[in-house]
Amino acid sequence: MTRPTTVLEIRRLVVGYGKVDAVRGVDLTLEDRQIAALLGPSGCGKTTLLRAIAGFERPASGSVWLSGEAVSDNGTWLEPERRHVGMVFQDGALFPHLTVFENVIYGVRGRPRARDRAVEVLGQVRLGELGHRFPDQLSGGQQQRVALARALAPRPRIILLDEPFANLDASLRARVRQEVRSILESAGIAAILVTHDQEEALSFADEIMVMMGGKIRQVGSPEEVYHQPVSPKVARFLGNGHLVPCRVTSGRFHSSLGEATCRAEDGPGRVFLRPEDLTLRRWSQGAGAAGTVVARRFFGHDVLDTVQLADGQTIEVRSLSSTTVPVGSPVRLALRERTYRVFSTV
Amino acid sequence: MVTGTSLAVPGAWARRPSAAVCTAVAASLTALLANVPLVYIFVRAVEAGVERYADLVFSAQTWWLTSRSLLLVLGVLGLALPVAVTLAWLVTRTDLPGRRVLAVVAALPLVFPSYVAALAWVSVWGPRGLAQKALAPLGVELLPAWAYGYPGAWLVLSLFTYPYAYLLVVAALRSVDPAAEEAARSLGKKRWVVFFTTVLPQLKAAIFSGSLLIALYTLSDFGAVSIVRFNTFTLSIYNAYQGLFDRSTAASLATVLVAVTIVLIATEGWLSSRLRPWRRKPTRPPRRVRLGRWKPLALTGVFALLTVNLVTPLVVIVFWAARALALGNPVGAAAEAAVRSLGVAGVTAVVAVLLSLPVSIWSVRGGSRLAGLAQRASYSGYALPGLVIALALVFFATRLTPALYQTATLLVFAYVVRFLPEAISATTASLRALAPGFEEAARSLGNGSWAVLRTVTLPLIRPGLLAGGGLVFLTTMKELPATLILRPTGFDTLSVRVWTAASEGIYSQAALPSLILVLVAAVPVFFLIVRPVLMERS
Repeated sequence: MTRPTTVLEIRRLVVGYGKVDAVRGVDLTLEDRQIAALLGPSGCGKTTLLRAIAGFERPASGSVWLSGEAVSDNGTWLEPERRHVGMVFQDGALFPHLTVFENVIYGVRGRPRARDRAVEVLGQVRLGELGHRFPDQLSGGQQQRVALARALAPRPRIILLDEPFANLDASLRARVRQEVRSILESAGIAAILVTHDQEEALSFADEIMVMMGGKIRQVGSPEEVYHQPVSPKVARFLGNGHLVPCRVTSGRFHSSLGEATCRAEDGPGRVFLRPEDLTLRRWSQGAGAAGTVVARRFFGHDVLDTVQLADGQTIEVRSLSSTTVPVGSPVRLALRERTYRVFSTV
Repeated sequence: MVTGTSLAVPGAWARRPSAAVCTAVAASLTALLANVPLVYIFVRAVEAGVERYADLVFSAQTWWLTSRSLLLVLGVLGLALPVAVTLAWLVTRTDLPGRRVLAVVAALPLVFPSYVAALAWVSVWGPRGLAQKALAPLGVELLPAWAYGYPGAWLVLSLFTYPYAYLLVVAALRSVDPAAEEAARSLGKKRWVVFFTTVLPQLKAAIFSGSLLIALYTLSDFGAVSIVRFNTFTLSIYNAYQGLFDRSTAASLATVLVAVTIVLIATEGWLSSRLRPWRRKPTRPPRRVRLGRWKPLALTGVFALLTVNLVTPLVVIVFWAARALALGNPVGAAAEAAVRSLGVAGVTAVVAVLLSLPVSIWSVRGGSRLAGLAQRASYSGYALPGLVIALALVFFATRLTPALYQTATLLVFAYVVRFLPEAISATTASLRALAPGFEEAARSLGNGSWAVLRTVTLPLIRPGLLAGGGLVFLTTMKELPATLILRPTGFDTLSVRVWTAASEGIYSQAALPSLILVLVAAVPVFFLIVRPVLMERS
């Protein structure tokens, strides 16, 4: 394979809703076969951005290029039906009056070997034997797989998934997510998943694009955005933690909760510590900030302890569930060693 | 004694029949009464001998009438449905200016009873109508006679009945998930292809039931066709009954009309049963289609339509009424007629709602096969044009209960049979919407079945009962053919006065009662029919 080609390129895109701009200047590129997640809180403009790519929203300015073709630019506007973009909607949006097979063949009707293609994609999503059913006779997960098959059938340039797992049962969600991911991989197609669920984005995508207030704030691998967030806001959105004041001296930061490596200029700063960055130690083990376990939440695979520090503030610590520290016992906190991101104080 | 009450309850109840038994008995009686006209019209028709009946039924006249009536139904559907779907689409899915107001206004031609609409129609578009007078300076001495006959009946019935389909299509369009349309477009289909392949199929159920409403209205209409003088079943039956005193002919034709009606209902039922029911909540409001350069055309079309079927008849009625008042026509007769109309309509509404209760409760809560049968049997009036019910009751009363002939009681009975389905639909729907949890909670709190009915069920379904009663009131007040035939001598209601004056060509006498009818009808039309559909979500 030669070097990856760009499937999607967005430049300075602004999309307005009445007086409010939902998307306020977004730049974004996606390579072929890349699976990305557009992650952001509700109302951040991510769905609007997705719909602008598909051609359902007209941008106020900026451009959208698909496989090197301008589909939305100054004076250029390609209707949604001519963009070759596959959409998977929140509830699947399957045509209720058509069978599964008729839904899947809908986008390729009239093309040569349409039936073969429909059979093929139905097989890809492993629903080959349910073609005669109607959408309301399928489970939520099956409906989403049909929606994906329908979107894949015309061999689009890219698949856009708009919160497709949001209305599934929690127990089902992780499994359907994994299935969709592997179908996309085997189809070898680029995809963008829009979601407000951090766990979903982090476990689904190779690349996370964090969107807040109409702008893309950070793009990176799941590990990168989780452990090296560009701002406290992004850090908080990706998961719990505490913003702790610190002082950086020659590549290490020092705080009331301990010290560790970081990449930052010398001087005062703030560091964002996640519950799993901290470890609990016995009181007798000497070093480390002292506190008392005041609450304990058990999740099975791990456990979240709330520790009250000497100055009265509380902090959460995640440990493996095999560690048992009774509520009420005095403990000391230690910091795991890794490279942290330190934010400036302003 | 206080502690004893709980022990006393079973004993007390044992002496009173349970609510369930009373409901079943009342529902069965209602179902039987509702079928008196249906059964009796057939009894009367074959009375003169099966051979004579067969001769009458398989006569050339019957075929001629059937084809005329069906051609009218087809013509009306062919115009009313496209108008209804286009209007519904314009107000729900496009950026038509003023669409929210227009959505309501487009349904308002419902306030005109067919005979008022037809009266206004011929008085404007008749050969020497107001349009001709306006055009007289241009040398137009006579307009072509297309206000009468088939064209007249076709246009009047189409332009004034499309709201039945329009309202259903608007509701259906709102429940179509726009995400499915977007999916279709992202799969490479143009907008109009998307409309025909994904939207229109989802409107089928609404279009079918709208078509049935319009078809039944057209088939049973007497007022409009008698004023524009287009011979259909109803008019022929009326003439046969009235003019020739040949009652066997009238009865035989009536049975054919009933048969045609039942075939229509069965066809719609068959078509609808093949549809798959689905209910989805749209995920978001649809993106409105920009009409762009089509906007002026769309607006012109809508305004032209509303000018013809709303503004013109209103202006004409007000104009004639004002002239009648100015000429010193007595107001008293119209006022008396109004009192009679309101009175019988009110009594009918109350009786219909009361009778709908046992029928609905038994079928919704009882759920037995017999209960379902009783409910379906009570819908008999749905398939019976008012004229047929009236004929059947004339025959029945003159033969079996002469004391009832020409009484308001018999009239109310006819109305109740005819409009009971409306009350049952409303009552059944509100009972279905009521989670049985409420009633079960009340039972577990120690209430007997009667007490639960009185303290929980009835108060909770009261809005539905009021709506059903309101609908019955509205349709009763507008009813014409049964009233004409069954009213006691001198018992002129508003509808009778309008029709009599119109058939004698004295428009000024028809105007005041027409105006009262329209104004009174406007209230239930707006609150019970238009608003629930159009303002459900704003």
